[in-house]
Amino acid sequence: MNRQIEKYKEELYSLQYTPEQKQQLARAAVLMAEQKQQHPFVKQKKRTLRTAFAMAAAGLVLVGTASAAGVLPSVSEIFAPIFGTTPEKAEVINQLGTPIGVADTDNGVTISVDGIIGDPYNICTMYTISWDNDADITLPEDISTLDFAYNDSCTISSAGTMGKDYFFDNDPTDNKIQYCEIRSGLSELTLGTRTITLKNLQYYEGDDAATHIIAEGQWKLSFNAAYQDNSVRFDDDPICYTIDNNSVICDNLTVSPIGVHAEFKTEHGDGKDLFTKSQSSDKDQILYIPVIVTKTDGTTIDITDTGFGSWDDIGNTEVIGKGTVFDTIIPLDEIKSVTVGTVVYDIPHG
Amino acid sequence: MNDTQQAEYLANKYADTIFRLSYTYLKNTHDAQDICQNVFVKLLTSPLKKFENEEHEKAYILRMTANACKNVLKSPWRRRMCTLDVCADMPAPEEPDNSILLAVNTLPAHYRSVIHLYYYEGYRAEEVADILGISAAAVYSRLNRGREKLKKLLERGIENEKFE
Repeated sequence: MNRQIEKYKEELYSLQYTPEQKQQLARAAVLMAEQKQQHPFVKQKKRTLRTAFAMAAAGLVLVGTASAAGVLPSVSEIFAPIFGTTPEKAEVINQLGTPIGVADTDNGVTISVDGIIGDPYNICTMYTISWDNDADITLPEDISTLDFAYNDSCTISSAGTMGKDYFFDNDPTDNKIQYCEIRSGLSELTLGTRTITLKNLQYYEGDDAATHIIAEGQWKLSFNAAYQDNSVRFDDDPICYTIDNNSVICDNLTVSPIGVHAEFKTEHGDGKDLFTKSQSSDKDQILYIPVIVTKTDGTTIDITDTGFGSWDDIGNTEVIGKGTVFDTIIPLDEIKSVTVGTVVYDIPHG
Repeated sequence: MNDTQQAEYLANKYADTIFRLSYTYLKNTHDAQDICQNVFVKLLTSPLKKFENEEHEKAYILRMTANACKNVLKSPWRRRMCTLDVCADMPAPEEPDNSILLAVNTLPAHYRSVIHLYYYEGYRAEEVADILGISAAAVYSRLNRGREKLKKLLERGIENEKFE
């Protein structure tokens, strides 16, 4: 995929004005600006409707805990739809994850944080969205088009956070859908109290992305984000790569049943971004460094092209992270090694 | 700097940048050309704004461009602003017939814009969020979903073309 992104950038770069066209553009802009200043457009006053907004603002917000309604499900039950259901996976999920059970209700729609699981660089949060039987909710045919108009859930880490999220329907016969949010940090995630604000559940339709709000409201969820970490970290023996005469050091590889994270650093020293915007091919080359997970059964997971990539300036150092959250939980006993570039890191087994 | 000098500065420095983002939103070179003109005229007729640095200036112009494009997309009809003779025959960069750009153009506009700013302009997710006026979480989500959709499109091939 990264190669296609590179090709996309090349093709887009070819869209450019000639110097003559730029001159013509500048002349036309001056003429139009003069014309506009001579005949300024006068805006008509708008009439506004206040009633609808007042009614919308009247919705009640209730905050509570889902656990009050009953016993919390186990973390392995919560994450089974995305991480798998084998006894080995369930054991690892139960060992690492934490059930949460915090919920907030607005306009007949309740959103609960069911559980979290993670490692030093990745956190997965599972939510359930449920609505009252009489709530007027019509889901789009393809629920993968759902999104929140506002989702302030990024306060877990420093800059460079990446991630993905998606909706799915675990049981089409009930009035609930599930939302899984995965965030990966460039630096170690800061846990502790996590407050998440979500607004208006909506979906986009058509090429112009017309917005359809299907549940108007605001949901604020606060909980203590804590989970067990059993990751393996390799940071004793930094490996140096040379890319376009720049020395790039991989000084941290962290592997867990959740995912893998490799961290690269390069000095620029002059206070400037080593990789200029629009021409970040050097940065991309670092992101192309192969990262391959080899399992004990001989199968491999190649995240070279599919993982997350993020970067940030920390002092005079450009930090570039590359990693992924696995599609399923992989007990560390089942991971033989991780290869970064040409270097093989063997996972120690108890 | 007089108006002509400022217009030349803007055209030389930002015409391509504005054009590419506008093309990303509007998918045709004529509308992208109009946005380019509109943004320049707006900059020339607004009080001079002081920027902290070039990056600040560029981010401001990209934000203006994104807003102008969103207004066009929201509008039930698209009105061409340029009515002067000087604009009538003004050539725009050629409409591309490249495979990846065509594939990206089949994605919804909200995916195209984040892909453009993140991958082409090289902004971080937080910066993209600032330019587009959306949350960083929405950027992550759109980037990932856009990539997934694009990957599927490319695997399937557009108009039976083969991709790497």
